[in-house]
Amino acid sequence: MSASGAARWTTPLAMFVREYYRTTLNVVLLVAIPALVIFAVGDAIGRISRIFATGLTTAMAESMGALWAAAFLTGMIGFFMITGARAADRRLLGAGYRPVQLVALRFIVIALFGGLATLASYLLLLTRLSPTDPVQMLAVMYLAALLYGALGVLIGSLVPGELEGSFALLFFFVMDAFIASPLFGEAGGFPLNLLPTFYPTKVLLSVTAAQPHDPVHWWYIAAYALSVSALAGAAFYRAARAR
Amino acid sequence: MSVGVAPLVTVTTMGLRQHLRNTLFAALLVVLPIAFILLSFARTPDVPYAVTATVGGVEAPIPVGMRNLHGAIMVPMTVSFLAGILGLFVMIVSREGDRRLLRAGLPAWTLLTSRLAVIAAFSTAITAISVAATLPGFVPEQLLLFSVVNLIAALQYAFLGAAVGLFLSPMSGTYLMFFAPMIDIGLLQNPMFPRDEVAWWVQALPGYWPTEVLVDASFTPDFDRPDALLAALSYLAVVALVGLLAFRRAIVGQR
Repeated sequence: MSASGAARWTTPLAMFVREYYRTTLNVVLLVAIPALVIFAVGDAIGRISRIFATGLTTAMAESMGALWAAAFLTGMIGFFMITGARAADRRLLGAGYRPVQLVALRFIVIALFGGLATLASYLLLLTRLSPTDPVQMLAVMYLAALLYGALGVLIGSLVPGELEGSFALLFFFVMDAFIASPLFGEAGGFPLNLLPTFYPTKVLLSVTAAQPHDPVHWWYIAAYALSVSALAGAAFYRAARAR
Repeated sequence: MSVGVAPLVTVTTMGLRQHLRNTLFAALLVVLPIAFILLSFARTPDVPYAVTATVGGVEAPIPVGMRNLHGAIMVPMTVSFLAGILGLFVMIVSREGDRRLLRAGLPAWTLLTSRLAVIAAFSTAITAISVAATLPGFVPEQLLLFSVVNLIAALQYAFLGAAVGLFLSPMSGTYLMFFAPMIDIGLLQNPMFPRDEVAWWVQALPGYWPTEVLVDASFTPDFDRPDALLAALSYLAVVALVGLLAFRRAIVGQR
């Protein structure tokens, strides 16, 4: 790739990243939200689960908090990146970028921020526990973050307004974290197993407890992430072409 | 300061219409509280549990059952974060338009009152739907008080959301208005945890006094906590004042 060819990718990427960290509070929240969720919610869920006798330890609750924080942050970043990007996308299309390049650029940025959110959550989690399998733990947290990132892009591409789009994204998050949560016992079967972090949570809890898990769950997670990403890519491509 | 009723009604009606025209928004406003509350009941194990409440001026443990307790606390949690995010976006969406309306001569007081009226109307709708969704699973002992205190919780967070929406970006605001009620009402004030020695800073949060009234309204037949209701209403008045001052600073000061 020539220098100018590389610049056609790096310039908009740098622009998208700057859009995020120009707002200092966004950067603060990237650390503050995982800290709140892991320490406060993790502790509370650990206490509630003793009442329900679900066998969920505080360490498991805290690792779930880390996964939710990474996933939710990335989902919000994906959603607001798409809803707030219309003017920038129009300029890029005007400068000769093709819609498919825009889709690729936006997904690269979401993968990058998903990595940052996962890393922030994981490093905070390390202050509370020592995972026996850090690679699998990081991998499943990152996949959950990517999954929510793609969900954010999908909702942002299909729903025009930020208010109803936020409500739609929060619907998935509340369902995942509060309704299908292992807090109230094993959430098996249809339709709760269709929620985005159902299988990531299953794998994560097993990894945290150093227990074996069914390897097929990784395939479910990968298939889910690919399907949502394909839908999100198609929806954003369609929206970008219309811009 | 002149306050005309006709412009107030017009701007309020326009604000309500602007959001209600959006079918998806209207549908989510109805579906989300129903889904969250009904599914919470369905998923909570019906294990015995007791909360401490005031009965005839004396604090005593009352057996309530975990399902009823979770159903009761899910209502203020749901209404608070939905109303908070709604308040946030009502202000974000109308920020620029409001500056133009002020420049065109609409009194600031009329504009602010109409925005708060829109937020209050939607908060009332969210609360009514949420309370109605609770009834098939759990009927509070004092239904009217239960509804009122949930409305207070919704309005507190809605006005806080409105104040936040005047200054923050949509993303930062959404993070705050989702996590603040979840942590406050869903975690720190949650009667599932012992509430004998509540730290001063937890008592200073918006959810403290409404939750105190909520326990009384849900599980005792008589109203024993007028002090808590008065404190919750006073808190609401302070939050509304904060919203007003924020509006003056963000919109009126920069028109």
